[in-house]
Amino acid sequence: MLDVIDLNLEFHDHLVPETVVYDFDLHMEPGEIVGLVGESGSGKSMTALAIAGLLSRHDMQKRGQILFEGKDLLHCRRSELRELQGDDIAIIFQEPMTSLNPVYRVGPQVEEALRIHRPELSAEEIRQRAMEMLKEVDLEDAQRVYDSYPHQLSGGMRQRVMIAAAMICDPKLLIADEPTTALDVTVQAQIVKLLRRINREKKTAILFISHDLSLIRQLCKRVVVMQGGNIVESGTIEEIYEHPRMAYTKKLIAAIPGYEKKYDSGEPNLRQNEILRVEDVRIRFALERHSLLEKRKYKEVLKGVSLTVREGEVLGLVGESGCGKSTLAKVILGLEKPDEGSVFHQSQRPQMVFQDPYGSLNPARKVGWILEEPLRIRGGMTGQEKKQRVRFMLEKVGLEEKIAERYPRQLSGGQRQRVCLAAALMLGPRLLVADEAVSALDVTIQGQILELLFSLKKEMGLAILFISHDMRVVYQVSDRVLVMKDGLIVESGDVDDVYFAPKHPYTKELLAAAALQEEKGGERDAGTVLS
Amino acid sequence: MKYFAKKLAGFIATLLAVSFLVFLAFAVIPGDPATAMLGTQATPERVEALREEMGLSDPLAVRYVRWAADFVRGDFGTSYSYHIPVTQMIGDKLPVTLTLTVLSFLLIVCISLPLGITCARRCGGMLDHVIVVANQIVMAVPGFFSGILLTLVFGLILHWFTPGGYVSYRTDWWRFLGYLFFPSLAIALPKIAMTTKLLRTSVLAETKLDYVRTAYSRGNGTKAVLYRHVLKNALIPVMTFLGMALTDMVAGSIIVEQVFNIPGLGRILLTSISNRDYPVVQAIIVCIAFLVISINFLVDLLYKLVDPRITIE
Amino acid sequence: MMGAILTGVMLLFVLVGFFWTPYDPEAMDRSVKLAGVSLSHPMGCDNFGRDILSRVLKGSGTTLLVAVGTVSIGTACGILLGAFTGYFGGLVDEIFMRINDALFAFPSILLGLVFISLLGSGKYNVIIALGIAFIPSFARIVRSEFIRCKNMDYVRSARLAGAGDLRIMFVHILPNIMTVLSSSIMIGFNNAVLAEAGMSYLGIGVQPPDASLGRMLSEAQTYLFSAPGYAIFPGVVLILMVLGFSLLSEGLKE
Repeated sequence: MLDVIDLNLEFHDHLVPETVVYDFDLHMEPGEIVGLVGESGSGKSMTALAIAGLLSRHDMQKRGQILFEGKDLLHCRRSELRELQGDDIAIIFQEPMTSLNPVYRVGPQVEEALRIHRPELSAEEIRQRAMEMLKEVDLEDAQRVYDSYPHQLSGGMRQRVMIAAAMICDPKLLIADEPTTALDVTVQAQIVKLLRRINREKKTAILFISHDLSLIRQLCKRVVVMQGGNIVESGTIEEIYEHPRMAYTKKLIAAIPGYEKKYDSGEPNLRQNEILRVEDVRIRFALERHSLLEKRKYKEVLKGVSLTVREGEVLGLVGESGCGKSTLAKVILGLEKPDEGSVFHQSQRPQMVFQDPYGSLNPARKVGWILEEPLRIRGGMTGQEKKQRVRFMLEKVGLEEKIAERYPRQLSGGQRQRVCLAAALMLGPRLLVADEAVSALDVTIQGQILELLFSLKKEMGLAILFISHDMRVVYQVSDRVLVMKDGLIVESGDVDDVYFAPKHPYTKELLAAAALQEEKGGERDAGTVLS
Repeated sequence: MKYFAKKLAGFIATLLAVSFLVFLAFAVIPGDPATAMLGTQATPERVEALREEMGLSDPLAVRYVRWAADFVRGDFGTSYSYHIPVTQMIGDKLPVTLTLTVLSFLLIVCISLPLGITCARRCGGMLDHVIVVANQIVMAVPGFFSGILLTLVFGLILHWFTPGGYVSYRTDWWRFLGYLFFPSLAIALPKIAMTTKLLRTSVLAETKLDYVRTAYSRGNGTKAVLYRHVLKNALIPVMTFLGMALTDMVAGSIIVEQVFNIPGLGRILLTSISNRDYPVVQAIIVCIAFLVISINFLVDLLYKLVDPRITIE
Repeated sequence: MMGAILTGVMLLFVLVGFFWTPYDPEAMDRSVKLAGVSLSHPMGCDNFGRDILSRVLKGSGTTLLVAVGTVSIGTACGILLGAFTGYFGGLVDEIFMRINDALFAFPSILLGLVFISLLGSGKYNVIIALGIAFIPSFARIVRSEFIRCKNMDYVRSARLAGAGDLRIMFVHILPNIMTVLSSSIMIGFNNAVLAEAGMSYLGIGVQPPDASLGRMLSEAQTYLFSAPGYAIFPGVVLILMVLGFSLLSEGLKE
């Protein structure tokens, strides 16, 4: 059905032409699901766009062939391409919010492809079809969704709408470009299920593009691994996952977080003294009032949270977006005042490593200045001493001295996160709060940063509050774990107890969602317990 | 509906705030209105009597309420210099300035929208380059100087109109409009350039967004994507700008009236400022404020129609 | 780039005008009344026989002086007001923004007119009037930038490092809004030059004997047909000045 032969994509917007995809080959049969995996910058999205016929930039040179049922999409007329787009080939994207037109209602957007490709249908027939389609993607209240604007729906609903809009003409090929990356784990699992059902019932072939190897393994029969614009390796799931031939593939597969303890947190006998106690903290935010007369309503974000962190331990905190875990972090750090309850610190203020290494470093200042800032504020150090301390910390986090003279924007994501770590450790805190500290990074970099974090932890005897949505990473790093939902801690305990004998239904749901992306092989304990 | 109610409340609050500020500004200026009305030769007794009569010795708040109430009833006070009601002075001048503003607004919309879209569609082409450069230059020409140039070229050299040959709308509505064409062009020119530029940038920025890619992926052609998807989004910032431009143009018309010798609000405002005829200045300022705030209110309502994401802050 | 060169040339032009003019800008010479372009008078002479080039040199100096004064007042007050209201928020912010919105709704030249009618005309009053009139727009920009920045993670990490509010506001946030601010300062210059010229044209701005481009234009209008150069040269200089600033502002945005 689809044959991509020697596809080369080259940008010409710089002085030196930049090739983003080299000699890409792909063969797909009708009804097949093929995975395309790679880290950011591997060229996987460019390839997807090229196949969907969406690379029309003038400064881009495309060579090779993309044969869809024998027709070369790269060299056919635009009108011929347009006939296929939306009808036989459909695509969904990572960000459903921005992929939908914000100023139109959802209904007409779902219908659009049908209106273009089936002009013979009446408006009523088209509407009916759209309603059916919305129901088919498990949107219960189809009429309400039909009449909503994109911003009024949740992330999962928007992605369902995107799928409905893509599937409305019954395409033969659906290209899914990181369709679950922006979603919560439980929603992710639902979307993957939905895609699988569509593939089974409608025999739609799916080209599934993702950076998430466990997700690909779950969904696909065959997989293509890309790096830096090249195909590294391709084959069936078994071949690639069980017997990877290339070093890069091996590295990727090794980096998939599984249920194994990778990071040892050092001597347990240290963990006697409490260094942080949070008691029954409540926080509420005022909701917007609809009229001046209305009584002000509040939304409780934290509904009475208590926890303790002991010296030298790693406490994991898992929960989905909106559960209040970031607010809790702010309360602990003293960035937000609780309405009720109290926070006791044993030592000086805890420090924090943020999720987004792009936002947490002042873009207008050089790295050296940023690292010196805590010392300057504390005072009592000469310029020379400060410089020395900065050099020492940079070395500790594995960065070269000259980085101090750079601006944050000149660094890579991994380097920035190292700088953040150095900044947090500048004053020698006893407790570090890591809020999704590795979530924004590529898997291989993720591994390196965790490695670094734990070697520093052992060396300095730090305690860490590790906040994440990723069940597996939390398992790898934590001694104890807290599960949070809607502003409450629903379960807590030793990490093995919580993961292997969960008591609360929500914990079970989270683990099930994570297991869906989990490798099918039963070599790990977790797999057997959870299945 | 809630949006409307909230905006209406804001509208009224702003009106009150502005009127109070204007009132305050003119209440604290040195100089006594009674003396100003009677002239410096008046006896202290007469001045005192007039002060009582005008209620000048009452507290500020009382005076404001009285002034505002009079204003609502259409009584804008009496001119110091001409001793006639202000309402009478500005009543027949208001339509002139309004027509001038509306006419230039129409020019802006009719010229810049097609121009901006053309530029965006042919981005990087010859025509686009020419328009972009022309825009940049026209933007820098102040309205009164383009007025002078228009007078020189079309009035004095080509004789398409007679400079200074203003015809009142009471005499001949069509010749009145004809005379206002070049003045409104002078007001509109810089705004046309800015709007064209903004629309071009806005369309180009929108074209890079994800939903445009989605639209193409459904088999839309370039035109369909532009007119059915991009344009409505791209017009949102343009609308904001046009709202602000409209208020700017009210001020611009005051200057351009001077260039083309048109007896509108601007003329009275200027003479009143140099005569220190405060009731007149105050009335005109409040009128313009009212106009400006109403325009902003309407733009806000229109906004809600175009952009569903707008909610009450 | 173009903007920087043009602004540089115009600044040089103004600077020359401060120290040297070919003739005394006030000296009248009846024999060259309304004379056209010639070698001895490159831009011709006005109705009193004064050399237009000299007057343009002096006038653009006045215009620039007013613009610098205006923008300084507007920026300084705007930064202070915008920073405090944007950073702290709350009721004061609410009230201030109501007033600010009301003032912002007014075209700045109109606000200038109001203040002039209260203060009286003249060079320094124009600076004060326009300066005050420019505060709301700067305050608005600074405020929205501060609101955008105050919830950024780098502000949080500065707070965790122990920085106080003032330090966060002026050491951490302020450098980050400089790009936006400097671009709007250039737009401010652009608008100030236009506003000053407009007010002087109306006769309520800079008063004689100070030369001013706007005033020259209004005087030139009477002689438009007989001496078009009298209007065109000051006008072109005005346009070049505005063009320089607007190009510069765009360059800074990128």
